[in-house]
Amino acid sequence: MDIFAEIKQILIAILNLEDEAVTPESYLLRELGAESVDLLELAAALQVRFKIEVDEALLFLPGVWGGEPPRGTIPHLTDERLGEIAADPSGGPVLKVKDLVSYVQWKLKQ
Amino acid sequence: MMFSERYLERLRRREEAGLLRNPPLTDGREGKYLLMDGRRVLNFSSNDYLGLGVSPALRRQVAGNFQKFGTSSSASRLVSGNSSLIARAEEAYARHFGYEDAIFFPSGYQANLGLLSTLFEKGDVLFFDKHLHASSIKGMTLSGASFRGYNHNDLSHLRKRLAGEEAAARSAVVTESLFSMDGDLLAVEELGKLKEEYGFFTIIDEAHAFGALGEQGRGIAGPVADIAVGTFGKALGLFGAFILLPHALKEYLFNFSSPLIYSTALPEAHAASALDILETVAAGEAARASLREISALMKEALLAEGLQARGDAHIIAWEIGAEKRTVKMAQELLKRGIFALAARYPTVPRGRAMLRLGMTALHAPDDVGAFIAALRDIRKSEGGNDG
Repeated sequence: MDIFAEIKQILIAILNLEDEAVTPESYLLRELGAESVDLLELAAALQVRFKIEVDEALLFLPGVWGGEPPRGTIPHLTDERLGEIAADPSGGPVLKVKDLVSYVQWKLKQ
Repeated sequence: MMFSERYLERLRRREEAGLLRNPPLTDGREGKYLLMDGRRVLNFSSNDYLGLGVSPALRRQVAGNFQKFGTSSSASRLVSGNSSLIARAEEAYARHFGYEDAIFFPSGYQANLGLLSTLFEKGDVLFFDKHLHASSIKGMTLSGASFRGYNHNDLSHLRKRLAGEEAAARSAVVTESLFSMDGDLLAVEELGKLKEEYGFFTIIDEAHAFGALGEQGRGIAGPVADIAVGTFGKALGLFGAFILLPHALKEYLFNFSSPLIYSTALPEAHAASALDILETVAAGEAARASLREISALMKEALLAEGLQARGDAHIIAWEIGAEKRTVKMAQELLKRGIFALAARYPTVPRGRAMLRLGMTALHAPDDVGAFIAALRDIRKSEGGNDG
């Protein structure tokens, strides 16, 4: 199963995007224009599509929901990605499409 | 971590992000003015579109109704609060707005929540405008139905989403007619065409339109709405809300809508007042015309300043963008005697904060002039461009 391709199709439908707009590096909120209500639908869609339980606070990362502090660890992200996030100078919502892919991969392994 | 620490931490984060809500205390209203901090400020933050909320005549009528009928229904509609006067008022509202039946709710939030969470369930599909009010979103999520958002007022996106679904028979579209924050209007005809094609059910929140738009204040979505939601707390100058709907669905809500079943009914005096208001609203063409004119004047004036102003009717959204800058603008306006709401995330999308101006028939051209003068003064003192 190509998880990225599946997630991409979900995002294209929810956000009304062109196929080429979505890459693993796309920022969900900053670039693709997702709003909090889209994340609500996205979480539900991922649950249905991949038959996984979704913890929204974890999936959407700290900083997305009104500046929530990180609670505990972020088990689905690599150290490299966590470093990238820490180095992000913008302070804006850091969630990228590839983070969704990592989350789904991590859940499917459990 | 103790609960209290968690809450304090979250509040601190909100404050850091410029998102802490801390509404000022108000000490009363005088027409289009708000009283606060011992002074009178020009109010552009109410939903009192026709000015009925401060009408001395309505105040006397409502006071008389409470004098006559008492202060409370003291029970739910399902127990001993189902008064014939409420039923009569509901019939009158249904007739006026052109629906089979009506049902009153204690608030608009509760009406949307009680309606959507009850009518829909797992297996149903709800299509919704992404700028739908928080109460409707909450109602949808509680229902268990699947939901599919479409970009705000983008019915071509709705069409795409409809085309991707199989079970049209269990589909409904939920939208507003005049959007509470963006101030733009639903494309009613276009939605009607889609409805013909796909056969979905429609629920349309006309909270900001009823009373203020349409012939005799009937709103704009009548031709396409299976159910419409209105409130008394906006153009109608009272409190509470109403749902306009088919007979059978009223009975259904009476039997299955928990927020209705387990709430104390609005008092009879409310129903009597609702009947009085209906007459005033139906005869309010002059107020509606004033509202239309003053709203157009404000929007033109903002555009003439080179600002990002939008709005098709009496709600005008001036998008500034950054949350902190928007709050600062509201504060500077307040220093100059003008109260305007800084609408921020999560009420509007992050990074798209706006000043939301609610116009009323009580505003005069001089008030628009005062707003623009204050704005120029602020921009001059900041030496920047806030548009």
